[in-house]
Amino acid sequence: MITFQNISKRYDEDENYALRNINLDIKQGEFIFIVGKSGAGKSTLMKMLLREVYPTSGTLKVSGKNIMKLKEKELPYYRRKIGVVFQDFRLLESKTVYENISFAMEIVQANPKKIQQLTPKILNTVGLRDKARKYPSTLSGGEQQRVAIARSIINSPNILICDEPTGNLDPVTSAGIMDLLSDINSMGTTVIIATHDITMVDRMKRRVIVLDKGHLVSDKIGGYYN
Amino acid sequence: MSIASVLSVVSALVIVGVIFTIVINVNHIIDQIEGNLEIKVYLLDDATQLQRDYIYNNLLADENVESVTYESRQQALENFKASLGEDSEYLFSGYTDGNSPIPDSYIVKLKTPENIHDVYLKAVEMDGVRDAVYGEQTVEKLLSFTKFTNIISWVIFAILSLIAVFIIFNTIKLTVFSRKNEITIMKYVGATNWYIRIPFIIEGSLLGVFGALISVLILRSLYYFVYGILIGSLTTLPLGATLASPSAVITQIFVYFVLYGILLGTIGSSFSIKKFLHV
Repeated sequence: MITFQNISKRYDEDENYALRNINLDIKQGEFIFIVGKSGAGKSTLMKMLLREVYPTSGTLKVSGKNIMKLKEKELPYYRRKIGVVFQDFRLLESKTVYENISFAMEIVQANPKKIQQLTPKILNTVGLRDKARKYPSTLSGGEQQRVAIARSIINSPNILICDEPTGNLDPVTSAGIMDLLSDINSMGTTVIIATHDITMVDRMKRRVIVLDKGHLVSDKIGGYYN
Repeated sequence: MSIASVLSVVSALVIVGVIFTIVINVNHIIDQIEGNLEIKVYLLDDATQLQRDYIYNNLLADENVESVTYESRQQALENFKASLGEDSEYLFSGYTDGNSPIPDSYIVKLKTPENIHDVYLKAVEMDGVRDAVYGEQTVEKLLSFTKFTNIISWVIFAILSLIAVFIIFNTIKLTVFSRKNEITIMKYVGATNWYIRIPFIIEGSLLGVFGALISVLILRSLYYFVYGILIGSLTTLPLGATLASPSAVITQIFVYFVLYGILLGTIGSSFSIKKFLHV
């Protein structure tokens, strides 16, 4: 489904490579951790999937299409098939929980009736049914991340990209978020998580890709230390 | 949209409006003067009827000519006497209708002053024509004055439009900047650029329209004021021309300014959001 072929990325000519010769195959419905220290290339890899960053060389195909060749006007439609979750949640403080989620459907000009039906369902899925009218600032970190996840999956994406989703959360809350992501994955969505939370990675026993200074150094199923 | 930015747009537009009013008035005066432009084609005393008909038809057929009127020597004498007033009876006492010193003529009115010299040259070449005259210097001055005012007003208009666009650009940029986070999320979720752009463009256009409306109100009072003073003190403008009426000027400014405001707002806001769409 997702194929990285000899992908390299250098932001500036005189800088080191952020990614070097990455070859990677991700199948539909997989649950993948991408681990590595800061500067290992995790974020670059994620941004490339969103086509926010272009590779210096190599090809990146999603569902058989070279996404670097997408026209500017095709990009929004490509992104509608990808959900994104950030470490800092990126919620809109002026909107309620409900509005933060329904907003993602409004943007893609979904039918208002469909928005009214689906938003409470998704709130239920992420366990925030009773927080619909609250504002993000009144929620805990874990709750805010659940809102962000709800927003990212409301348009039924094929792929869910999470950049350090538990980076700002305590271990217990993080475990809850991981379980939620695991549930989403069990419904068929491909989940790709960039993290340096090694304990979490080991607990989940999923496919783990290790990056180091832009190189792919390990690709195993099970855990970081296995 | 702050009061300060609306006022900045208003001040730029008021200056544009003053220039615009001057241009409307110059064009209004020129139109009137142009309407009075004519060539007098004097005929030879012994010009045959055939020659007279040929001259008349040929001049009338010219694409630059608006109308051709025949003036007999008697009419010419009467008109001349009338233009001089009471003293003319004494001056022209020796002349009667039969021996008027002014020859028969055709009075040729032109559509525009640009080709007056060509028509003049054509007329003097014709058989049966004694001479032709027109206010050559007036026409040349008029043409160069029109050109001059047009160039100057376009330059000022362009500079002030740029200033207005810049003010709108900066105002909208602040709004865009405060919603940067929202725009990024919208881009990630898959909003099209137009979906993101439109609210900002509407805001920019509203800023332009508000600015335009307020400046039209200011210009209206200003023009009535200046018009009142000028009408009171100026008894005559050159060649009997008058100033454009306030209602005509305000209507023109209103229509143009609303459209102009929308245009400036759209351009300003489109530029300000451009950078933030690259996510």
